[in-house]
Amino acid sequence: MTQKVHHVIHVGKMEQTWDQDVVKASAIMTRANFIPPEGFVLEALTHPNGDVVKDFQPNDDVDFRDEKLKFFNVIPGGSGRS
Amino acid sequence: MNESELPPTFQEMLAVLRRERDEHARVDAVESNFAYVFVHALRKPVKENEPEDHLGGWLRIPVSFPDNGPWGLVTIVPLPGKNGGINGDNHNPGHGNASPVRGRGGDHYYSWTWSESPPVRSPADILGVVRWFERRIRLGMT
Repeated sequence: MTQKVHHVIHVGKMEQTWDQDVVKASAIMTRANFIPPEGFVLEALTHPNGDVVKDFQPNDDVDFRDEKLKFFNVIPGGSGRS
Repeated sequence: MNESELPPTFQEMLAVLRRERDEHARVDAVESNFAYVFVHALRKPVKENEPEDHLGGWLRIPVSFPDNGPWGLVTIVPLPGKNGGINGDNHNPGHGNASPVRGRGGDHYYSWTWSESPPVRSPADILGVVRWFERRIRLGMT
């Protein structure tokens, strides 16, 4: 019998639970109310308000089996150039 | 600087910024419809005993925020760049846009625009704005 997987992650102050091992960054951002997610970046952090360990663009896959991917922030993207 | 003269939505933005990110954030100048808002700890030290005010900077936030996005950052010292150099990402030392805070040490203007970023919608979006500046600074350091 296989046990159903639940991945609990934190996006800012929001807790999210996912049944899949791999989801699009855009899905995480959308669930965190960044709609549409295009133009935003998902940052994985060492801990809440911690250092950034990885960046995800909306179309990138996020693999929750990576133990480092538990805490996230969503921030605006953009190059800063006009 | 009399903050009560700033628009209510701007004052609301300041309240969010101080409550959620930097209780000591301050408005040091307003010129040409931009407020110069000093935010501490925008980056980590890259050498020992860096003064605290060197790690922060003035965000140029339009007084019409959130109807318009930020435009530019002023720092006291150049931002650290790759391989021990300085961050040259639209770096303008001695630029006129640093003049309103030059008396407080501001000299290095980084002309970073919001033009490719998602529109800001509410005073609380200042938190994303600050993280955006932190990210730009960090990218220049890697």
